[in-house]
Amino acid sequence: MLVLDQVSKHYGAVKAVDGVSLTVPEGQTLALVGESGCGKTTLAKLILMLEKPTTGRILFDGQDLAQMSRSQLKGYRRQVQAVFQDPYASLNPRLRVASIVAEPILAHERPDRASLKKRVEELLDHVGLPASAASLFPHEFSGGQRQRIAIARALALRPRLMVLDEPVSALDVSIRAQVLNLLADIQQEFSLTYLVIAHDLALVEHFSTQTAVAYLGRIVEHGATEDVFGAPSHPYTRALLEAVPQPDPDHVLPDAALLGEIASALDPPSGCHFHPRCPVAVPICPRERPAEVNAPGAGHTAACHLLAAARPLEHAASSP
Amino acid sequence: MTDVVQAPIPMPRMAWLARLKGAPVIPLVILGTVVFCAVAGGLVAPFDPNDADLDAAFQPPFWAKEGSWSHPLGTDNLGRDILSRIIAGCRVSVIVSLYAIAFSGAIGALVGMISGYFGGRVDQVIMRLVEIQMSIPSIALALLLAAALQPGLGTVVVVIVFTYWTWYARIIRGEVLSLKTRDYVAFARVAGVSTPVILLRHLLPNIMNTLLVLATLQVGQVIIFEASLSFLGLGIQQPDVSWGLMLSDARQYISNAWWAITMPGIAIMLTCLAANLFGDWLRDRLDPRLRQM
Repeated sequence: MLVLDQVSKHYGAVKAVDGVSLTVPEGQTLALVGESGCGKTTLAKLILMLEKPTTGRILFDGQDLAQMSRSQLKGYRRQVQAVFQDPYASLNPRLRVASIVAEPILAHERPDRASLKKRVEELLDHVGLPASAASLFPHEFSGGQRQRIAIARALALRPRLMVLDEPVSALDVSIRAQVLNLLADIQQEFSLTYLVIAHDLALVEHFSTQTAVAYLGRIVEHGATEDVFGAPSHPYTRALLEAVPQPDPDHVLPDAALLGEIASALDPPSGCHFHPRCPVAVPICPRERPAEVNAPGAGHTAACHLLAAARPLEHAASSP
Repeated sequence: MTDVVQAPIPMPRMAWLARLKGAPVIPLVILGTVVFCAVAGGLVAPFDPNDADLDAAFQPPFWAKEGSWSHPLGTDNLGRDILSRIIAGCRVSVIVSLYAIAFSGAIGALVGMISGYFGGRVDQVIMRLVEIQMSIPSIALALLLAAALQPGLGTVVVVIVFTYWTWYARIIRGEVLSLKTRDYVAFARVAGVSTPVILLRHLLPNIMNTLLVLATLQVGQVIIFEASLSFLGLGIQQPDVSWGLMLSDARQYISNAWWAITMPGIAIMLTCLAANLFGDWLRDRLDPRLRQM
């Protein structure tokens, strides 16, 4: 449904997103994971058309966003909605919940008062809030309740794709599961496609059907979640998975799974961006950017020279 | 859904008066008196402000040896009652303040919002215009405008609006620069909300506090500006009464009738002081970040 084709976004010398190709399949949940600074939020902004890509194309149902007419853009806006990380920043403190939830509707339609009120109440009901919430202000709610309001707002236009930018990371651990369950429920009910931006691998493993791992503006590994977690093929993915804390007191974290800090996006390392931190780097790594090659599992790819050496280059799986 | 979340009990809406709790009392009383005199000055003033009585010229205020309670603050060179003229002068101060602040605030806020929200070249052009405007001395501009237009209340308002809109524009621009990166503005764009609606619904309500504080702090400056223009003969003209005009009239007689120039001066000082103290309080109450203003 949504296809990114060699998309880059540069801010001056910083390549926040550097030649990313990715397909978000209809009805699935694609998780984009990575450390902070890996460009995952920039990618979300590009998809939401809050920023324009420097190069590359973003296709929605085969249509290039950059080529869309005004009315096609309006249509795109209807079908793609977002839930942001911080429910304290994403709701205007001076508007009542009814106005917040009705905002996307009023941007596209002119419903009469009674039907608008009914729709707002239905939306609130969908996210588990009582109709009486409509007349209150955001500050009268807890973080989890606020995120429910944000979800109701994103749902208002019955979109097909929802971009969830760290939807629960600002919430208390105790209510994360509730909000995730809610998101899973409405995905079923409205047959939504999700693009989840996250850094919490445990969450991703249970919530997403596909996972893409980003490092310094590039996708280093992408595939079905069980393949990526079951047979991590890029050394960065392996290091990330090893660093996940286990609820087991005898579990010993491997020493220095990752060497050093993430490099500066201002001056990324040559060749494979990951090579200075990579425990298995070989001489070619600083010289050449690795191509995406097949990894175990259907549609599972990773961008690593070692993998390319180990298995013959079947084809570069960049074009969808 | 297993968990239906209980909505919190709505708080009773705060009454407007309750918000004034802790406001400085004396400045509020002074400002209230000025506004009252502007509205109903004719009812409380002991004399008509333009009633000349040459027999009663140069009477000192009541506490001086030759003073009397019939003219509590004394009379000027034409025997006009100074208290009545100060009361009548409130009207000009209030009207000029209201118009000047409303227009400069509205223009400045609109320009500042556009500049801050759109950024890029629009912002560059607008901010350079603002800087050009700020480099023109306002009194020189006033002389020019007064020569081009007719001196009077309207001209005073135009000159003040010309001088002060930049002040609003710059501060509101800065405010909008930070507001526009908020997630709720981003969401509105994602949802396809049109730009004018974003400006009105998401930005304007959030800059209202700042606007209110700026407007209150401007009152004192406007009153002094109007008095300066009127003193120079570029502002309010006879027979209208303004505090600046009173200063100008009384200047010649400063050696034998100090009260004729001191009393309107005190009125200006007290009003400005009250407006500034109230503005300071409001700023601390609503928007402590503006403290460097």
